[in-house]
Amino acid sequence: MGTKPNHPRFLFRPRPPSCAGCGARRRAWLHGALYLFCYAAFPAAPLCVAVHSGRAGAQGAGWSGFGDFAALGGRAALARQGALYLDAHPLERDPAVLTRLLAPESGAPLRESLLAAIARDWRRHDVLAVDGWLLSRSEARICALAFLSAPA
Amino acid sequence: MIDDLRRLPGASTLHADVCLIGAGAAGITIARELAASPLQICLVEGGGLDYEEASQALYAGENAGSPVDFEAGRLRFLGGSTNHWGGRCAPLDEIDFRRREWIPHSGWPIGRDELDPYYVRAREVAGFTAPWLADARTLGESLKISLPAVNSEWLRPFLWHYAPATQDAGVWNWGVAYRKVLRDARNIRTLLHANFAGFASNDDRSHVRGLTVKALGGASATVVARNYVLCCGGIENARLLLLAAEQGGGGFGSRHDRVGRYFMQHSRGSSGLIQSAELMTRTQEQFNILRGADGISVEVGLTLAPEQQERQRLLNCGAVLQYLGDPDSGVTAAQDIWRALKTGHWAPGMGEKLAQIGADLGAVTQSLAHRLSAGRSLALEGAAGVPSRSASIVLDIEQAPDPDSRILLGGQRDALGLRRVKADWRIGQLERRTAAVFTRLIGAEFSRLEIGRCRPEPWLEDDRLPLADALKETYHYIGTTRMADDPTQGVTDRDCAVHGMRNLFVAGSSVFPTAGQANPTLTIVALALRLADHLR
Repeated sequence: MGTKPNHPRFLFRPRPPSCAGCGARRRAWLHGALYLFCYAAFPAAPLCVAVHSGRAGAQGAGWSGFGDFAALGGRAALARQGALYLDAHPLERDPAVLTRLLAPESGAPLRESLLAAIARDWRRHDVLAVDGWLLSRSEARICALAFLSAPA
Repeated sequence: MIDDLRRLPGASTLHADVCLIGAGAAGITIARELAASPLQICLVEGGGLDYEEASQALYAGENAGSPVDFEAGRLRFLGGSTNHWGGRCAPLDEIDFRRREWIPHSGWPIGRDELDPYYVRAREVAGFTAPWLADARTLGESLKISLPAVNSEWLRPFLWHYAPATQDAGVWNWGVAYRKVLRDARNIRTLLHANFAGFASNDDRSHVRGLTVKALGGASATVVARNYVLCCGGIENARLLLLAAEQGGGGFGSRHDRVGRYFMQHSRGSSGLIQSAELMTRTQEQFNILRGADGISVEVGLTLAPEQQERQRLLNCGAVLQYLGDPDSGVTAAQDIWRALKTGHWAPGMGEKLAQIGADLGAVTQSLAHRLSAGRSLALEGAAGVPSRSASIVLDIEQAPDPDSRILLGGQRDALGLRRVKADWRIGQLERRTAAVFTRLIGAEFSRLEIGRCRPEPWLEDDRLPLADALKETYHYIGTTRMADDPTQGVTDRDCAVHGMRNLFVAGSSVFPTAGQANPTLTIVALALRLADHLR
């Protein structure tokens, strides 16, 4: 029996950093930024404000669906979805793994990059049902990271 | 002429060129088509001009599978089941006629192109005078709305047209709309209270020589015709053939044991909820029943794209949104006040509604702006027009043809002494998988387009949850005398003649080999027109 093909090792292959120190600093920065993003997802209102700030109002312009979802779900629902996702995907029960899977490879701004990843999931139909809701895979991972980064 | 068997002299024999058995959409359409022909038509109907309990009771039956409500689904009087028809019309899709190798027993002996000219004629028979909107583009031109750009490889917008109401009935109703034609046509004799009692045939059972009809009170008559057409609906057509074969010791399409098999309906059920943080005002003006100033009335929904059906080996499926009203919304209050102003009925509590509007002024302004920008061409009525933040996805799922899903003769007998019907209706797992994939595609697209977020129903993914609890019948009875060129695979041929019988035909949805997702009435009428041309 080999390693499961959906093991994060196969999903994300980090490029070797040009220098060990710079790579470590970049990972630490991404980790921190994602923590902040996901922590913001818990109280739904601040996330909505953050996400809606880029909203043009018309369908398709400036995707903001996660903000809508956060507004519908609320803090407890997002945490529950994150926990359930991790139950079904135990290999991702590690903030570092989730950060790697969610983090932009380029230097694109974090919020736009995450929203683009979610929109891409919808287009590719990379979706799953968690706690009754249909989520994009990136949304499920954000919920999972939010769950792991929530205060006990 | 409209006559009544109970008033005829005893043991009458009526002669005709064509005997039509059943005065519903199919039977009346054929009669109307042949009204100006030199042919003599005898149209026999088991019921009277209106609903009668004793007559309706002849429709009772037994269930062996998923429940079929035999008496609620059918009506036994002039006009047949069009007396409770919703008026929803759409042609079948091109893919519905094809042999789909992933769906056993699929494929019609005729293609959609064969029916296209009859669909055009069928619209007029179904009462349509307003332009027919073929697609989303013509919908946009006519009703000034544009639909969201869903991924066309997954989903297609779909339009169901609503037949106009007749003056005397809530919806277009063959028994009302064409009563004058039946009364005035010199070559049509409509015989009411004339229930099928049996066929007489020649020795090798290849030719019907006569039809015996009986009234509940005991009167009877014989109809002798050149051709006979069963037009009694998807359940009764099969039952009458089974009864005839039993009485005659075989024949009547029974040789290969196909009569009554492949019994299908569209299975209908809610597959999920679309929920939005904001009012779905814009969506409600896109996916809804839309009425145009020129009399057009269409329902806009979605279907599973043919490419997706093929790629994922699925059935056809259609979906509409049923909005769940928000009683606390200021828009609801504004609608109530507007209605009160129009009707002059100023009910108590209107002051509170004004306060409700004030508290929700943003949504009220937004809703008003949408309605005005639509040029008043849209009129949302009833529950569909109540501002909502959520909507149920309601599916009409095509059913896969299954020879074990069938109509049989039951053990009980009706008041005429004939064996009652028994249904063993079965819904398969392909229906569940189709619903699951379709709902996920809708959910993904609605999320991407920011229409709302989707909560799929648990029954879609959990095989332990019985489909019979989630999906209900639609009263679209289909497939029991299916068309096939090969007599071992069907009951009727491509001309709707019963295999092995020279002068017995079947009209109605019982001849459909597969059901598609569209409501069957327009196709029933198109096939009836085609059969009428054949009988001329």
